[in-house]
Amino acid sequence: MLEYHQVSVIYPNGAHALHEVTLTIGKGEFVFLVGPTGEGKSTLLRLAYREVLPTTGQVIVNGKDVGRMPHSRVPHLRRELGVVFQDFKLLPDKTAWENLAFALQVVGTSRQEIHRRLTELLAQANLEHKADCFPSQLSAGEQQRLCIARALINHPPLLLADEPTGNLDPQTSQETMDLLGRINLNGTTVVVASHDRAIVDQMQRRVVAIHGGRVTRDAVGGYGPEESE
Amino acid sequence: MRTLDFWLREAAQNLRRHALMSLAATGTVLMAMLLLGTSSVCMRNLKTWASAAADQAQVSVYMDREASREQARAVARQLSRLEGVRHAALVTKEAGFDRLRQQLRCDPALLDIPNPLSDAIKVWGDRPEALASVARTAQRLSGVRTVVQDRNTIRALTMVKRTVTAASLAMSAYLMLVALVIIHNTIRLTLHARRREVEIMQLLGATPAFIAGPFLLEGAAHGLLGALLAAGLVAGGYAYLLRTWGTLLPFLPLSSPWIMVDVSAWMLGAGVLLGVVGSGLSLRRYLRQHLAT
Repeated sequence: MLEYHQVSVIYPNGAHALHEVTLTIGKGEFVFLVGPTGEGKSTLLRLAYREVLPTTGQVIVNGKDVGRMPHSRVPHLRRELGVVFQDFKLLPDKTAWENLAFALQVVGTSRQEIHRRLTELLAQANLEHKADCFPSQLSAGEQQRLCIARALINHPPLLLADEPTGNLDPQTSQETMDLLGRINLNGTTVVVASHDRAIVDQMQRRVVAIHGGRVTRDAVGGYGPEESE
Repeated sequence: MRTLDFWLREAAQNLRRHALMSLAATGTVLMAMLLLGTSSVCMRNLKTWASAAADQAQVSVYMDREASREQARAVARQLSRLEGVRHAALVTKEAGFDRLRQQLRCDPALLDIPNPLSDAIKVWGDRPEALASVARTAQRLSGVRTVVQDRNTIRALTMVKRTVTAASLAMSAYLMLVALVIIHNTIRLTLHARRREVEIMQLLGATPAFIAGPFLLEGAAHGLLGALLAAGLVAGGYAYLLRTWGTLLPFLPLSSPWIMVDVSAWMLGAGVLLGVVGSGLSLRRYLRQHLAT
């Protein structure tokens, strides 16, 4: 589903974000990428939807080499992925309904179909009463649920979540992780970048630790003692 | 169809939600189109006047006093067949003398003298430049005594006509360029103000063409609205001028109000084109910069 082969990333300012990372995430897995902030977790996710290109190595998503993909194919790659962004990336001047509809309009869905899907999605995300609210009128938890709903809108086989509990209180964090767990149970591969020790320890899933741009541990279990924040 | 529907709604929403920016863009198009429309109306009238004046240019061919009326008629016929000649008219010496008497009737001493004139032929050309060769040909015809051609007037009129045409073209091109730069910058500012929106669109899998659609429509809307307002103002101004001009300069009539149909069509076309091209250039640059990956 998602493969990294000897991937290194050096940013234009000379910073080494990743060093020869090799990692394979199979279909239907739930994987945590853990480690301190700025060690390369987000870069690994951004490589998958080609917001960043590998300096060397190969990134394969659904069998396609992302680095060698022509520009014209990038929008299609992104439509096959669901991404939950750390800063939500909701359009501030669009309502909750419009933010979700936007993701469907981008792929040319009909108005009737958008209406049917959104009614269903907003109910699932428990946001049906907030459909006409702008993001600034929603709580952080509601914004996160909206962001997850948008990521799932096109039924992607792979969901990437960058610090999905970063801005949430413990209870909302727990609800968010439960939601991601349920999504994974339905067959979607879920990759979560997180430095939330409590959540990772509690979930007991596959954990890939990143330190200094290298994979330092890859095992099922908790956060681990060495990945201090 | 779905995409067009989305673009239209998106463009309408953006115009509404970014009203101030839209107002600024429409305002700049309005100013540019106002200048373009006004200069176009002025140039058209100047050209009409220059053409009308040039049409008055003529060559006068005077026959020998001994030449017969039949000879004069033959010369008139020959001249009227020449290339570039619009009309050649025989003015008999009697008709010429009558006209002279009328012009000089304030001086009774001149009324009783014998007719000193000869038959003459007045020649009007299709264009003033053609009259020079007509004059040369006329000089060689049998029975012709002298040929008078007001070369300076013809030359001056020809130059005025050419200068007015060239100035009109240069002025229009310059104003279009100014408007294009203004719209280009306005859409760049709009794009900068909405860079987060564009970034999110890209991350959700929108193609560059899909992202560009609403912005191009917005550009076209700014262009159309600005040009419509400008055309209305220019047409109103011209209608007012037409009403008052007759009392000010009756000897220099203005072109018909129907020129405004043509001028307005040009203004609307130019406005929409400017809006689309201006926003297209900004988008091209912006999307190129932000599609580096």
